Amino acid sequence: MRKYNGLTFKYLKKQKQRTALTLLGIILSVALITSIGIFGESIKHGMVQQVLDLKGKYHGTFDNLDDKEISILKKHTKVKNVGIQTPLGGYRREDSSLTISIEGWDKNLIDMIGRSLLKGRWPRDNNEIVLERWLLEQLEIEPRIGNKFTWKYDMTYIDEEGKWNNYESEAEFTLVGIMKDSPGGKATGSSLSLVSINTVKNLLPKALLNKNAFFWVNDTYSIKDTLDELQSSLKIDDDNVRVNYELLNILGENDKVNFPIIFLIAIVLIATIGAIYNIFHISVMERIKEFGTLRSIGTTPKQIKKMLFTEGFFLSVISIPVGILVGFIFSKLLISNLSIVNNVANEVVVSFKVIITSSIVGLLAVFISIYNPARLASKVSPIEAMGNDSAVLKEGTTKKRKWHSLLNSLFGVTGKMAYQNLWRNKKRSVVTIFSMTLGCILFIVFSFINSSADFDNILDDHLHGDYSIMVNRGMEKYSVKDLESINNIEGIKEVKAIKFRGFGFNLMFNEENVNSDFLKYFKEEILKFPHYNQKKKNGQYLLESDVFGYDDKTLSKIDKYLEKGNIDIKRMKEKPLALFINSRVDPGYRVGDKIKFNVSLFDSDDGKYIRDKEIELEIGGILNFYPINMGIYSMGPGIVLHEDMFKDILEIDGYSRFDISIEPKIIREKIENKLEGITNKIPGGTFVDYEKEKKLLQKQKRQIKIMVISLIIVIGLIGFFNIVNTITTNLIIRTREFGMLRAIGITNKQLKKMVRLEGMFYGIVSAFWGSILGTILSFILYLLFKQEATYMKWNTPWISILGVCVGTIIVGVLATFIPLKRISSMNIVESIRNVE
Amino acid sequence: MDILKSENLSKTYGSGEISVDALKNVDFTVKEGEFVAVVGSSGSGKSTLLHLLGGLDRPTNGKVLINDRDIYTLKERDLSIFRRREIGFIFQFYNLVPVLTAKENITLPLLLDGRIIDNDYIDELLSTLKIKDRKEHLPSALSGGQQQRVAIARALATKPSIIFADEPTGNLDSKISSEVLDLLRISIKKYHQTLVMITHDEEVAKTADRIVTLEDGKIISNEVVVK
Ligand SMILES: Nc1ncnc2c1ncn2[C@@H]1O[C@H](COP(=O)(O)OP(=O)(O)O)[C@@H](O)[C@H]1O
Ligand SMILES: [Mg+2]
Repeated sequence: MRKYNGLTFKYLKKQKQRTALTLLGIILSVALITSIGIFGESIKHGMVQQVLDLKGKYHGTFDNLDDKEISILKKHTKVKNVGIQTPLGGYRREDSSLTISIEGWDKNLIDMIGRSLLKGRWPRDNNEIVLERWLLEQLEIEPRIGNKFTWKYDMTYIDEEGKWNNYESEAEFTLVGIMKDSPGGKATGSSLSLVSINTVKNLLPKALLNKNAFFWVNDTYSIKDTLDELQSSLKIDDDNVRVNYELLNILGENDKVNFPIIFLIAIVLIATIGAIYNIFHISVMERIKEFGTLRSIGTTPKQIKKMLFTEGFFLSVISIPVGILVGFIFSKLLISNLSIVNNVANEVVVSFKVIITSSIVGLLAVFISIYNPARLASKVSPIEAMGNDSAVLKEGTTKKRKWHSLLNSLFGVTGKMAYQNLWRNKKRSVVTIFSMTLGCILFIVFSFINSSADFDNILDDHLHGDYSIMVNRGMEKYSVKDLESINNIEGIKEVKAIKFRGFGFNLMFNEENVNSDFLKYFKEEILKFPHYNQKKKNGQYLLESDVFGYDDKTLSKIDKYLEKGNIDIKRMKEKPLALFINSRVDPGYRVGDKIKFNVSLFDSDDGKYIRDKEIELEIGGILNFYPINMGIYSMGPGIVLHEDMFKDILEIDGYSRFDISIEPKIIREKIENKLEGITNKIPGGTFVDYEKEKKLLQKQKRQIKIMVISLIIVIGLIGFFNIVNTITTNLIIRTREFGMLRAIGITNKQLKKMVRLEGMFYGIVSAFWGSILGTILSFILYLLFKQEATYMKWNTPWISILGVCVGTIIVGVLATFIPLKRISSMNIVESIRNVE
Repeated sequence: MDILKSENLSKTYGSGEISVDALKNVDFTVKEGEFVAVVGSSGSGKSTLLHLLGGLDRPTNGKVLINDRDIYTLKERDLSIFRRREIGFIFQFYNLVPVLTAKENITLPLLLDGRIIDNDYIDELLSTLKIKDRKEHLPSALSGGQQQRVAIARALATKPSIIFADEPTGNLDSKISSEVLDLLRISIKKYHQTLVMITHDEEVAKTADRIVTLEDGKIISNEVVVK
C-alpha cells in the first residue's frame, strides 16, 4: 500500500513542470469559482445595504393598526423590531410645486428607516418638527433651531359613508432639528417632515388618526411565512399590508430563480471541470507506458485507479486552499479598488458558504476529471504498453478526414498534417476546443450584456442629463427666451425642453370603449375621490390626464419605452398623432385608435380660463412608462405629443422642464449659478443637480465593465492553459514522429509552421463554435432579460465575433510557442531513439 | 567513385565521468551503387555511425563527405534540405505519419520540398513494392510489413543517391522480412542507389557487396563478400 502511494509522490516530484501546471490549473479554477462567489455575496450584501439605506430596515408594514394590535405585534416572538408611523397630512405652499408630508414617527422607526440628524434633536414635545436640509433651502426657511413658523396641512380620508373628504387645519411648529436629505427626494420634489406621535394625536381629530407599523422579522424565521402568520393572526386586510419588495427580492425571499446567474455559474463550472479534466487526461496519456510497466509487474487496475485518485487528492489539498486565497485576494483587490463610496459592493463579504462551496466544487471537479483518465490508465494492458509502438499506435487515427484541395493549395502538406493532427486524439482535442469555445461563448455573451445594457441609456432612465429645471404645477412656464438663454450659456451641450400640462386635459370615454378593469378602477378609485368633481360631458366620462410636448431630440430617444406602434416624429409634428402612456390601469386602447379629449384653454399671461374645446388624437404608439418624470401625475393616462402639436392644441408656448447636459470638463459652478438664476424666474421652479447620482452610476458602470473583463481574462487564461497543455502533449507524444520528419528532411521552419497551424486550427474551430453558440446564448439571454430590462436591444454581436476569431487564433498560435521551443531544441537522433 | 566518405569520425555522448565514446575515429568509404552491410553487437555504435553518416546528428570530431561535400558545414536548414533530396532513411520502426495515407507518406519528402510529384515514378515504386492497392490507406490499416514497405517507398521517393537503413526488418518475422529485403534490393538495383544497412542477420549481411563489422565504436573488419 504505502509503496505504490510513494510512487505517486515520486511521480509528482519528478514531473515538476507537469505538477506545477496541474496545480496552477486547479488553483486558477478554484480562484475563479471563489471570486464569483465572493463577488456575488459582496454585491448582494451591498445591494441589501443600499436598499436598507434607501428604504429602511423593515420587511413590511401593516397599516391602520390600533394600539392593542400594535402591542401584540411588538411582543410577538418572531418580530424583532416595530416602528410606528402616523401621518399628519401634507403641507402645500402656493409658490412651490413640492410635496411635503408631515408624519409622526417613533424613535424605533427613525432608527429602522435610518434617518439621521445634521443638527439639533428629534421632535419630542408638542409641535416640534424636524425638516430635511434641502427643503429648508428650497422654501427659504431660516435653518435656526427654535425657529417658529405656521404651516397649513391637509389630509384626505374616507368618511363613514365611504365618501372622500378633506380635512384642513394649520399649526405653528418649532424647528428642533435638521435631518439629512432622503435619497431621491430632491429629484422628485417630495420631502418628509417629522413630528412626534403625540403631536399628531393632538392635532388630528381622533377619527383621522392612523397608525402604521413597520416591522423587521427576527433573522431566524422565514420572512414570508412570518408575514402571512402575522397578517392572519391580526386579521389584517391585504390592502393594509405592504411588503418591502426591493429588500425581499434581493434577500431571495421571492420565488424567482435567477436563470442568468445560474447559467453563468454553470458555464464557469463546465469550463473549470473541462480544464482540470484536460490536465489529468494529458498527464495519464504521458504515462501510458509507465502504467503498462506497473501492470506487467502485477499492479491491479484498482491499485492504479487508487494511485491516480490519491494523486488528485494531494494536488487538491495543496491547490484548493491556495485557489481560495487567490480568489479572495483577487476579489478583494477588485472590490476595494473599484468602490470607494456608495457602491454596489463596498465591503468584501466572505462567507463560510463560499469557501465550502468552492472547496467542494474544486474537489468534485478534480475527482470527476480524474475518473475517466484513471479508468483509461487502469485499462492499459501490460503487453500493449510494453510494446514499443503502442503509444504511437494508440494515437493514430483510423479515419480519414476531408481536406479540401483548395485548403491544400493554401496551407500545403504541413497544413494538412496540422489539420489531421487535430483529430488524432479526438477526446483531448474536443476538451481543448470545448474549453476554448466556452471562453468564446463567455466573451460574446458578456460583451453582449455589456453593449446591450447600454449604460448611458440606463443612466437616462434615472437621470436626464446633468441638471433639470422644472415647474410642475400652475400656469407658469419657462419661456422660449429662457430656453435660448440656457442654450447660450457656455458649456451647455444639449437641452431637452419639455412642455407639460397636468390639468384641464381630460380623456373622454364612455363605458363601451374601455375595458372592464379600467371602468372598475375609474368608478371605485376615481369617481369617489373628493377632488374629483368632473361631470359627464356629452354623455362621456372625463378623466384628467397628463399631456407632454416633447421636442425632436427627446422623441428620438424614447424608443426603449415603446411597447406597441412606432414613434413617427415627422407625422407627430404635423398630425394629431399621440403616444399613449398607460398609467395605473390599461383602458385597452390600441395603436390606430382615435380618442377624444376635452381641453380647457387658459390665457397664458394672466392664467384666466378662456374656453373648452374637444379634440381627437390618434394613438401612434403605446409607451410602458413615463419617459420623463414630472413627479406628480393626474389620475388618468399620459399623452405625449410633438411640441409643435402641443402648442397648437393647448396654446401653450412655454416649457415646464429643461433637462440639461453639459460639456465635460466645464466649471460646473458657473453654469449652476446661471441656471439657478433662470430657475428662480418662476417662484415654484426647482433646480436639480444630478452630479452625485451621475458619478455613482458611472462608477458602477466602470466596475461592471472591469468585472466582466477580469472574468473574461480568467476564463481566457484557463482556455489558454488548456490549449498549451493539449498542444504540448500532442507534441511530446509525437516526438518520434517529429524525429522521423526531421530525418526525412523537414526543416525547422516547416515544422514550426505545421505546429502553429495546428494551434491556429484549434482557434478557428473554437471560434466557429464559440461564435455560433455565443450568439445563440446571447439571444436566449436577451429573451430572458427582455421583460425586466426593457433597455436591452438585440444586435447580432458581429464585433465580438470578430474579436473572438482574432483572439482565439492568436491564442492558438501563442499556445504553441512553449512546446515549439522544446521541439526545436530537440535532437533528431534522440527523438528517434526515444522509444527504442 | 566514392560517394560517401567519413574521416576520423568520432562521437562522444555526455561529458566527464559518464561520457561514452560511441564511435572512435572511424574512416569509412562507400562506392556509388554499393550495398554495404554494417554488423556488430548491440551497443557497438552502428546506429551512431549511421546517424552521423546521414547527417542526423553532429559528430564530436571528424567529417562526413557525401559527393565530396562536407555535410556538417551546412546550416541546419540547408542540411535538412540536403537530407530530403540526397538521402533516404529506413528505420526499424517505420515511423509513418499516422494521419497521412500511404501515398501521402511516400510523397511527403517531395511535398515538403514543394516538388511536383512524378506520379509515374511513384506508381512504379508502389508496384515494385507491391503496395499499390494500399496507397489510400492510413498506416493504422496496414500490416507491419506493408508499413515498412511504405517506409522504403518513402525513402526512395526523392530518388536519393544514398539510402541508410537501420535494422529495417528487425521488427518483422523472417518470411516477411526476406520479402521486404528482396523488394528493397530490387529497388536499389533498379534505381542505381547506394545502400548502407545495419543488420544483425548473418544471412542478410551476406547478400551485401561488403560487410563492415563494428565493435566498441571501431571498425574491426571490412570485407568484400565473395559471391
Ligand atoms: N544519447 C545517448 N547518450 C548517451 N549514450 C548513448 C546515447 N545514444 C547511444 N549511446 C551509447 O552509445 C553506444 C552506441 O550506441 P548505438 O550506436 O545505439 O549502438 P548500436 O546501434 O550498435 O546498438 C552505446 O553504448 C549506447 O549506450
Ligand atoms: Mg542500434
